[in-house]
Amino acid sequence: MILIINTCKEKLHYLEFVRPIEEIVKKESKFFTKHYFEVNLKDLEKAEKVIICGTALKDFEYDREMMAFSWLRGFEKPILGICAGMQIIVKTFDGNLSVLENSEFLGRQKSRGFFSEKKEIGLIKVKFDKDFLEIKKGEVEAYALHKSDVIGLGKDIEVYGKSKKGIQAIKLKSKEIYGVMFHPEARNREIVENFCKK
Amino acid sequence: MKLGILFSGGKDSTYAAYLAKMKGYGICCLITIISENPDSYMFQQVSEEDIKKQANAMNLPVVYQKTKGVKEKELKDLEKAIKKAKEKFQIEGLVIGALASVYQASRVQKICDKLELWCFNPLWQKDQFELLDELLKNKFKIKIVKVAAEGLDEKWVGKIIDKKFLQEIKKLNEKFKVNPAGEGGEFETYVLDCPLFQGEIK
Repeated sequence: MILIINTCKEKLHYLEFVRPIEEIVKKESKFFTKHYFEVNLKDLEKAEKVIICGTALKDFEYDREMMAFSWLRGFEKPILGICAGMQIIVKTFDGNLSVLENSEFLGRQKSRGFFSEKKEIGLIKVKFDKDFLEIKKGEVEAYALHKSDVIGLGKDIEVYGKSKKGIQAIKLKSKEIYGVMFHPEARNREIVENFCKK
Repeated sequence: MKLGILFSGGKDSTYAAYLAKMKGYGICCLITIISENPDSYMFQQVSEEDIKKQANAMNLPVVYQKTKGVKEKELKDLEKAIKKAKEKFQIEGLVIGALASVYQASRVQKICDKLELWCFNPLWQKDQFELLDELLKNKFKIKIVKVAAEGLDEKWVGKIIDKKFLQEIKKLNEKFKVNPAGEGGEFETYVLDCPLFQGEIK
């Protein structure tokens, strides 16, 4: 049973960022979906794997509510983080992110020196340096929708793929925890399929 | 949250508006681009008069914007229209009905980002046969107004999408790879009635 975690602040975004993941997962496995605010210990015990979905460009609520992901650090089962999900993984495992000038986090981020102009919206090229969830080493076209960029990685995180503007795919060295900055539900659905089958 | 709908009068943008309303969002206005280009990648060709009938049926104002429909330049006109809607109706977000077109979706996302608006795309990646099924289940009455694909000839124009159409489009999809929801321009539609309308458009 796969737990799909909804990170969307707005309920209408469930249809755009969570439902497409459910459509892919249901062909491979049983699943249940919970909003990150509602995930509890029983859910984490029941889940064999977890997918943390992405959310809208303007949505940073999950970033303000990192306490809701405090279970992540000690979790030993496989996780796939998509966009916001990858950002949550990066921050949990001692990494750092940046956001752009017109974000509401401007003041705080400016003082920490985490500025970046790495917005990506639309199709991008992602180069995988090594095989990632059965995606062969090489270049793929991916769909991006983010304003944040990974600018610092914890020691346990390894980079698997990059675009011209930044890090696109990661995996923890010590655990089966994966992250992609792009949206595989729009392009490269096999990433989600292969994660489910693993 | 107050939303504007990027509205073509067709099934996708109307259904996207319906889904937003069902989720409890307030719809303030429709935003319609009147394009001179029948081959635009972004916009279906529509008439102000036809859109007005639908807007009246939904009791909603419309922000119209004309465009010559030149590729990429037409986006400036779209941005103008959305900005007008933001100023006049204080919309905080925009709803679009893109299904699988990264071309359309990413361009609108960029404009919304620039104008600091939320962008909602509730039909994104939806299975197109499921979409047609849902439209019928939710009592949408949809007329085909234009065809432009192998296997879809003039006899389809004016027909109402029904169960028979679903069967036919499935065969055409298998034989000619016709996009079942017509997002690639294979066919265009006009909504005559739906739960958002106060009455059917004759």
